[in-house]
Amino acid sequence: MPEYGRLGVDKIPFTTPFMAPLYPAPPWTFEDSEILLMSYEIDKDLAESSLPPALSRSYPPYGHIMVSHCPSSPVGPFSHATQMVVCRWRTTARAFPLLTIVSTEAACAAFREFWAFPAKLGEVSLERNGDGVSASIGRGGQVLASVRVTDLEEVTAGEMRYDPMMNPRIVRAAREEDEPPVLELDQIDPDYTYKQTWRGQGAVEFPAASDNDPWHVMENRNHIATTFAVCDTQLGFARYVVSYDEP
Amino acid sequence: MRFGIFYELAVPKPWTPDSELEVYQTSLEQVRLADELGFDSVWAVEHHFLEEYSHCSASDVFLTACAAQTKNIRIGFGIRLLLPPFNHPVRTAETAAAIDLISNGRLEFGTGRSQTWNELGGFNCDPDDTKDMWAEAVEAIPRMWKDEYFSWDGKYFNVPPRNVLPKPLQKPHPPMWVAVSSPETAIQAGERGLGMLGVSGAAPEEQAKRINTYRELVRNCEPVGDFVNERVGTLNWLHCSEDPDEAAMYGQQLVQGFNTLNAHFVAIRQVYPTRVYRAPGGGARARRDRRGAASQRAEAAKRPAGGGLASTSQAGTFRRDDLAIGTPDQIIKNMKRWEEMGVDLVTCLVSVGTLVPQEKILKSLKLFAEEVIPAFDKGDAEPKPYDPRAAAATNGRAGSKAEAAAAS
Repeated sequence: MPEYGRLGVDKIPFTTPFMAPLYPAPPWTFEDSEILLMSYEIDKDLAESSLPPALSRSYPPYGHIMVSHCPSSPVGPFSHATQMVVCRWRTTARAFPLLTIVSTEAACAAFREFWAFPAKLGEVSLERNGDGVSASIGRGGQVLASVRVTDLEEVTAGEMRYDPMMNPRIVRAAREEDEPPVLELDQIDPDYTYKQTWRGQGAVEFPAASDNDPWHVMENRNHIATTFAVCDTQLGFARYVVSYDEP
Repeated sequence: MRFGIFYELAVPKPWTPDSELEVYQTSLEQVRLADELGFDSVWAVEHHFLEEYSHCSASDVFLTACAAQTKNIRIGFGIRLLLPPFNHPVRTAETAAAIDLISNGRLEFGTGRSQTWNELGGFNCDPDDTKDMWAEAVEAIPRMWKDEYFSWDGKYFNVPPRNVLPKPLQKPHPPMWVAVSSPETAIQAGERGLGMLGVSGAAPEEQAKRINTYRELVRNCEPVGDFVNERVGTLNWLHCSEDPDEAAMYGQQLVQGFNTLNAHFVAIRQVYPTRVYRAPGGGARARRDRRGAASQRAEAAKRPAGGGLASTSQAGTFRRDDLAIGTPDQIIKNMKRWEEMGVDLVTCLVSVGTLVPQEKILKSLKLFAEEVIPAFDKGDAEPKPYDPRAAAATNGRAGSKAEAAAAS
């Protein structure tokens, strides 16, 4: 008789890869993380074509670019940036990530495999200079987006808000003809403990138009608000899992 | 307690070339009937760019039509935006006075500021300034109505000496209100002697707190006008039917249709960090949002898909004890709660576009007027002109500084 393996599901900590993950299990804590968030109005058709059927766009359509530097984490210092479209899941405000770049291999793997961000390995920097903060997002030495906030003024923690993200977890079927066995939206909703918070005038530029990394597609139609915060962030398990298709 | 009807003029999709026409004309037909039936007032919002949810940007025009087509029902701005980038305060004073004349003195002057990025962003209006803009305009407008030559040198607008015309028919001026959607705005209403026009669907317990705060403050207010309009209004939904399942079905369509459309707009406090629109106790916003999501998720799981609107198969499942939805007996019981809480006026949304058939709305209004309205004492007819001397002598209420000086 064949002797089958004894690896129970309870011993598989991650969906893929499960044998040799590059990262420890959540929650991850990022002490003194810095977060730059720029919100701006975007094209209506872009918003509608970017969202899965379970989500509806906001009126007016708008999105965020979030850039964060984590000086400490379970996988060492790293930075990440995500471009997202703000949406509604039924009647609650959420954000759907379109593109993510993470600066280290282990963090990128965890962001992609565990938290279902559409993450790629690249270069992300976040620097304070003068009365503002500048961020640069790129891959392979090509700068895809640069964000800057100036004229910073302090605001209270109570005025800050980050929308929970609805990340698309799609596990590809092994056979070409099969439907994906996993197709869902995971609500990723970190805890933030704010230490310092500011707002200012934001600006974004897209120096390169890349087909592989199309950050330039989400153009700024009208700036809404830009914030910068220093906070402790705890990134845990998904809070909810909902259908990708059904509103 | 009195009852009014309230209009957002929603035009839900799918749109046809006649969708807006149909909503405007059916709404005016409802207003004419409400006038005949003895409803106290009709109110209309001023919203801009809120597609589907409210196509009532020119509420002054809609209310003028209401005034011209009715005889007794009072005509209310619910509310007029007092922000100069939207409406210059002089234009607001002129428009309101003209409607007061056309309606033969039936205007209720509700005021407020916008809550959405759609509107403030659309008019390039800085959210930080809206509170002070409103405060400046609400102080100036009653003077425009009274003074032969008005002048103003303010932070947000200036006017050299001019006679702002016409003057309103009601003397010294129409009753003034402010939209109250938070504890903070309840305080603003009380401190200025303005009527508290509830425009949010806050829970009765929360509204009771706001009413208590308002009543305490208004006793010692410094009124911006010539009298204190000490009245409390609250927003509700109305569908009255002898058949409880039918009432529940249409009521559910009203409430869920309204809430679903409303949820897609961008509230300032969702997107713009400012103290002016800060939610109370805002330090824990992220945590509150999660709790909200959990409860909404549980609630949403019970609702049908497709944008949250009710299906007919859900008839009878929708029951709430704070709404004017149900049989006449159910509604009377529900409305008594508000009366006991100190509410003077319940303004009711009766339609969301054409989600509810017009004949059902008209029938609902008739039944409500026959069975529900008579069960409530209307109270005093209208607020009395404010007498600072009498007020100071009887209940310690302070008049404005100018009035106090004049009285002495």
